[in-house]
Amino acid sequence: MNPVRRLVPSKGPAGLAALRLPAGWKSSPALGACQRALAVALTLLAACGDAADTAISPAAADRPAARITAADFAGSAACAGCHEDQYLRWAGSTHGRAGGEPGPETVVAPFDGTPIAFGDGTVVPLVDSAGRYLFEVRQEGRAPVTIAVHGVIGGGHLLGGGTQGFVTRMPDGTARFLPFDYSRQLDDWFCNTGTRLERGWVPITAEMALADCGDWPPRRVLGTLRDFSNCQSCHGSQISARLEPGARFETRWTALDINCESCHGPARRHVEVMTAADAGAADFGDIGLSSRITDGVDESLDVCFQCHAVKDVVQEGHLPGARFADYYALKLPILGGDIYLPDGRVGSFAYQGTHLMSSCYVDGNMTCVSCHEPHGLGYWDINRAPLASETDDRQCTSCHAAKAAAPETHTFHPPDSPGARCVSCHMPYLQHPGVGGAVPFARSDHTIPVPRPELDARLGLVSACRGCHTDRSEFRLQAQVDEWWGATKPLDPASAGLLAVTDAMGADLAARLLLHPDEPGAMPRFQGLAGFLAGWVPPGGGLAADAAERVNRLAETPDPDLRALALATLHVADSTDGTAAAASGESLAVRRRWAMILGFLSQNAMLGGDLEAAESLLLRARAVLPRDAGVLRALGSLYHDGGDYSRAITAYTESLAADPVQPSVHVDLGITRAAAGDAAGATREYERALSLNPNETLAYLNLGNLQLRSGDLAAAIRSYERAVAVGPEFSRAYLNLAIALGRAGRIGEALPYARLSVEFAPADEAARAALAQLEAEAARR
Amino acid sequence: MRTALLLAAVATAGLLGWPGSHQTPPDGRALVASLGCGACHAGVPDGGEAIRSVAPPFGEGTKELAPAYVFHYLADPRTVQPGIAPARMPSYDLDERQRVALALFVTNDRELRGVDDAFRAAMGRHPDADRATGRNLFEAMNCAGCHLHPLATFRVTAPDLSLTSLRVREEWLAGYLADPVTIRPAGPQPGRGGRMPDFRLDPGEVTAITDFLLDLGEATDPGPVAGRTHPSAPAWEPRALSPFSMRTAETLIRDRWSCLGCHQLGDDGGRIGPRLDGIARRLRPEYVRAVIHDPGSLVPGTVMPASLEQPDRLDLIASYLLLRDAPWTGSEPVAGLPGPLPADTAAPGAAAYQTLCASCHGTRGAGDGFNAPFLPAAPTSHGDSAAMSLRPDDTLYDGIHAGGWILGKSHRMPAFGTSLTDGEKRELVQYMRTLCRCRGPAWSRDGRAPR
Repeated sequence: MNPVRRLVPSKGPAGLAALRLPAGWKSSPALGACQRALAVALTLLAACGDAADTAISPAAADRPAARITAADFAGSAACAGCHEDQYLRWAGSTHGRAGGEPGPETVVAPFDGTPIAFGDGTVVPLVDSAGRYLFEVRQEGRAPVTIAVHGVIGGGHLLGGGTQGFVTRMPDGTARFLPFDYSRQLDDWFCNTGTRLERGWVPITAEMALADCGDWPPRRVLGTLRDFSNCQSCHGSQISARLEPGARFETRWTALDINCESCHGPARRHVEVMTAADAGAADFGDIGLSSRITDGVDESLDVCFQCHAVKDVVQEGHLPGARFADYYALKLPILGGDIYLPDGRVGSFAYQGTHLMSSCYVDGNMTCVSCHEPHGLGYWDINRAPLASETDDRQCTSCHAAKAAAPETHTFHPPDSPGARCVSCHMPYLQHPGVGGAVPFARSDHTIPVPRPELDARLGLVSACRGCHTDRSEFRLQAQVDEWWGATKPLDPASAGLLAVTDAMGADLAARLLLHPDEPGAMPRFQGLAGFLAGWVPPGGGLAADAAERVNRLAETPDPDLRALALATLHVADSTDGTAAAASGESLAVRRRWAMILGFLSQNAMLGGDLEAAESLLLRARAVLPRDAGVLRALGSLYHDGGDYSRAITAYTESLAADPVQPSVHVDLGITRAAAGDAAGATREYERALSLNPNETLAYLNLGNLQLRSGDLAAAIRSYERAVAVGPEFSRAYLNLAIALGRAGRIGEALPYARLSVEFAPADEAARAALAQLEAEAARR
Repeated sequence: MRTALLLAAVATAGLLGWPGSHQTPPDGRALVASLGCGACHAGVPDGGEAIRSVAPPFGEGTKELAPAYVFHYLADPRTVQPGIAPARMPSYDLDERQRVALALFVTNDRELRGVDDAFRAAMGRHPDADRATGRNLFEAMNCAGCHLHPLATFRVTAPDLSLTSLRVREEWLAGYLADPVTIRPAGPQPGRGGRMPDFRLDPGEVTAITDFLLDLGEATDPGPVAGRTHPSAPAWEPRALSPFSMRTAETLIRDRWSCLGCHQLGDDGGRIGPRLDGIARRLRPEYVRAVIHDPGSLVPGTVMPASLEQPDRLDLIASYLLLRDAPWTGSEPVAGLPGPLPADTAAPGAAAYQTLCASCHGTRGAGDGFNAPFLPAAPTSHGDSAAMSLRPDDTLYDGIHAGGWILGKSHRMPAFGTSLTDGEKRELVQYMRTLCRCRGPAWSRDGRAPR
């Protein structure tokens, strides 16, 4: 059996930290200067869904679209009066019931006072006498904490595993997820152990500590904020989060269900225009809204992929109605990730973006609304004739009519048995591997594959056959498939190539296996090229003629993700950086992606210790996207790590010139100035950071470090106390406070903070050492 | 009663030679019979018997005609031979090549006696205009509807005139009869029936025929349609559409649906069906809507498939077409019109292929049908063995059933869905396999599955 090749060599979540995240994590020798921990940062990288496969000419793409703002949205209630039929169907749908203010209508989890028992405390979900939904967190030796539920996310509707989560508004203006989630199928509370135990989603038991839940204290915010762990613009409607410079974060949403405008775009002007028209003041030439029924294939998919796909953020601030490709890239998460298996099926956690790998899309024109009726979220056939259920064959046979005339000759299962349903074999429910096996979260396979029991097993999947015939071996099941259908439909060439390629192969053979410029489907071509880039494109090493020709043809595709990846591949291979000259002819959407890819590769090189390659890649990114705040910041971080503080300061300064509202870059710059011996300059930067964001934990933390180093223990303790107050999820804030208090001889006060730092970062050696030292000191006294 | 009238019509034709000089106001019924409308159109009392009794038959054993005579006669039936009674052979816009080919086919003179310089020169210019081409044209234009020929069959495919009052607007009909403009360049069934020629009617005749046809469905028992329920369409008026809805409908019709695969709208679209510009001036709203919903209910044997779309959107399209402000015009002439079936195609699916597919995909499946130049994407060449070997039979079937769009191909390829039976679709697939002389990929042929 061949090994299944990971697409790029680096382990860990996919992503393009260089552009979207605080670059790097640096520690001062004494106490650890802190940025938002890398581990936290990287989990954001695999963000949420996209994909315009449409050509974007530089001129058209770069024309600034009218900026859409929260004020442009009217809310679903405004639609009900004129569009009652659609409104009522929507209101009863899983979108219409997807969440909202807490109340009997929205909450399916038991808020009946029954405690959720952890090993180190209990959490009691309850409704108080005023009707407020609360979690009371009780831990021995600590004051009880009452957390108000301000938003309900999800209704536990989905067949393969329905869940419900809760958010609370924090003092810094963010709205954050609580770690207590509810599974309707389990009828039990569970939490996501990601970032701590890394055991996926697990039901809460008395064997667990509260801090085993990765989101305790709450850290995942609603809305897309570069410096936070999130991917939560989807769990509601028109969620936006942004820093009000000098004040707090502003987090707003129109609703926490999925409202009309999530798909139709902003409608306030539509309401105004139509009201005026009713009054005879306008004709109906411009109704202030576009029609979804005339959407092309990718336009239509983009609507659903706003939420139903993993995507990388190209630019923050997306709101419905904005040009999707300007904000999101659907295929970039493939880089370095295990999100998709080589044939496009879900490798960790990926929603329904796998549709882009399905033959129905690649070789046809299928969209989500080919089967899903978009208002009531029932089912219909390709001609919009309603269907009774999600297993109705006419979803498939209204196109695949040849299979409908004598289905038993294709299904080999008794006509009315579940095994004879199209979706039983071609769209089986598969548990998302990324969440583990303890909490049901299975989603119907939207790559719509042919069952291949042996390959499925090799990829770690439960084949559709095995899903029912649990008593049979994969070998027997494969033999049955072979007998009934003979050879089955081949995989697309790129997927087949990824399964066949091995590290030992030469570049020529790998190119033939992985690069398929003439095949349809941007997603499989992207997967193949990503695999090739990961294994056979040494920086500056050039490409053999055949590979170069293939990559050049891939660079001609209109799909911005694939085009950018091909250009970046040429750029990496190029020994002279001549490829950068091509950037001027590319749209901003492509150039941003191109630079993101180079940034990602640079980050990989940095993690691998090759600072020279990392620098070369970032300089190329800068050539493609000059004066980009993210690229310049990444460059600063790189120079800092290499000890070149002078150039780091220049790069950070340029980043701030490109985007002055970056408190965390001021922190980075402060760290570099401090390292360069300029304590006054560093302090100035931290203060600037705080003037932009008074809740910037890392500014307080690093300021405290400076003060501690200068011997001003009292000031340091005050700074650390502020850090703990505004960033309770930062274990280093507790640690440094504990150390400072310890140095001040306040051992008794220091100990609880040291314990918290270990509780929230059990693997942090510095925290353990500090705790041990403090405990020893306490014992000695 | 009907027999008597028929006899009267024949007698009139016999006495006066051809209709055309009226001592009394013309009789619409007699005119329709004597002009031979029923040779092409369904739904008229005389099925063409009258015209076939006077129009000369062709073929072995018939009167010898000189090829050059036919060649010149076809150019202008009125002037070729002064002295012959006012000829009522209608005028066709035939080009020189077509006239050469037809002249060679309808005459038996293989020695080509009496060939004049003009005809000889024309033959020199069109070496491909042979008797076979002439035969194809003869059948394609339904010449046999009037002129019997042992090698040609005639088919009644033109619109059912008993539906005239349901179908068209009176003012349009009168103008059309006075000056016919081509509506379907290749005829109602491409390759199977000609287009409307110019009968050179005088105003009195136009009025008489118009009145007769408009009364036909209601007042007269139309013989050929007796025995079946007379079609009807419920009263309907287009609903008012905002400019926004008009744009939506236009996008659907132009960029999403298959309508313009066959129909022309503005500068865009095919030449198989009637041009859609200004149809409100030609057709009645209830007819337009009924045909869009279920073409076969009003036009038996039509090549237009029944749409699989939902009624609300079909009504939107009907309203759009009727509200769209455009003058009515006919179609422009089209080069390379198809002849009837190639001689070797008695195979299953061949007839349906020639009728439904050949207009775009070509009579031999080379992707070169007469309609191909009017499509945004080249039609698939079903004769391309290499490409067709990659396509499973089921994919071909699905494309016929659900249209090109679902295969990621042109949305202008229509879905024949319910308009063809399962057996007919399978026969078409089988016929395509004879064109490519190939099979689908091995993986698509299920192991032990009965096929």
